[in-house]
Amino acid sequence: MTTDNAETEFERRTRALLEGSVEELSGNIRSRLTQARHAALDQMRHARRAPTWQRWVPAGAAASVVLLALLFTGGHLGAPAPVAVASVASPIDDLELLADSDAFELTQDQQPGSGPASDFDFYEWAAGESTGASGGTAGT
Amino acid sequence: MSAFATLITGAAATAPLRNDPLQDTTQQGTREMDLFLAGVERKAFRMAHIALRDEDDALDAVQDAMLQLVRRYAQRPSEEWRPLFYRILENRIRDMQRHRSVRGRLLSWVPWNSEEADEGTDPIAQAPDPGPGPQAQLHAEDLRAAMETALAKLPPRQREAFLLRNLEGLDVAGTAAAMGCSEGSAKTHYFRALQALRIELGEFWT
Repeated sequence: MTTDNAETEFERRTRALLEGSVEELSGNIRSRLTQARHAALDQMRHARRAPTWQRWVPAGAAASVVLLALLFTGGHLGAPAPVAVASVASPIDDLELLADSDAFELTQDQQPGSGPASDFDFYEWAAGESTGASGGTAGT
Repeated sequence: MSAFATLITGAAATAPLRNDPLQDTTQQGTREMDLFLAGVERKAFRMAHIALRDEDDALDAVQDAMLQLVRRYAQRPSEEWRPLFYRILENRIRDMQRHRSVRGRLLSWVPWNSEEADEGTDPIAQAPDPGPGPQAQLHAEDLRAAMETALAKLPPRQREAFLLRNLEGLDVAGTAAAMGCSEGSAKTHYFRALQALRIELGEFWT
C-alpha cells in the first residue's frame, strides 16, 4: 500500500514536470509546430477537393499497360507453355524444391551417374520400415 | 442599378447552392483534425525531443506523423486518431534513431570525421550531464534535465509506454493501441519504466 502511494506520488510529480516542460516550449517551436499543422491540413483540404476520377488514374494506367502488353504480344501471353503442360509438378512445387536444400539433393541423386542407392530409395525403405514397425508393435 | 440588383440577387441565390452538405462535412472534418493536431502537437514534440535529443529532428518527426495521419487515416473515426498518431510518431522516431545509428557506424570508419561520428553514435552521451546526482538537484530545470536524461536511457518501448501514459494521459487500452501490443505488454513496459526511473532518479522523487 505504501509502495502504491509512493508510486502514485512519483507518477504525479513526473507528470507535473513533463506538463510544465510542454507549457514552456519556446515561441519558435510553437510557431514551427503550427506551420507543420497547417501544412498537414492544407494537404487534407487538397486531397478532399480532388475529384473522384483522379483516384482512379493509377488503376486506369495499370489497366492500360496490361491491355497494351496483350495487344503487342498478340494474345500469346494467355497460351499455355508446352513445358508447363508436360510438367507434372506445379511452379509452387518447384519453388519449394529450390527453397529446401535437402529436396534439391534428392533430385541430384536421381540423375544418371549418381550412386546406386539413391535417397529416394532410402526414404521409401524408411517409410516401409515405419509402417512395418508400427504393425509389428501392434501385433506384439 | 438594376443590373447591380440583379447581380446581388443572383449572388444571394447561388450562395446556398455553394454551401452544400459535402463541403460542410469536409470543413467540419478539417476543423476536427485541426483541433486534434493542435491538442497533441506540443506533447508529441516533447516525446520526440526526449527520444531524439534534437529539436529539428523532433519537429521533422512530428510533421511527418501529422502528414501521415492526414494522408492515411483522416477518414477514420476521430477517436482512433490519437493512438494512430502516436503509433506513426513512434515508428518515425525509431526510423530516425536507426538512421542515426547506421550513419554513426559508417562515420566511425572515417578517421577525419570523428567528431560527427561521435555525435551519431550515442545521443545519450550528448545529453547534458545531470551533475552530482539527482538527489542533490533542487531546481526544476535540473530536475527536468535529470528526468529527460533518465527517460532517454530507457529502452524505447518502456519510454514510449511511460510517456504515452504519463504525458499524453492515455489509459492502458489506448497505450496498447498506440504501441501496437497487448494491454499486458503495455502494463509491463510501463511498470518497468517506472522502476527504472525510480532507481535512476533516486529517493528524492519518492
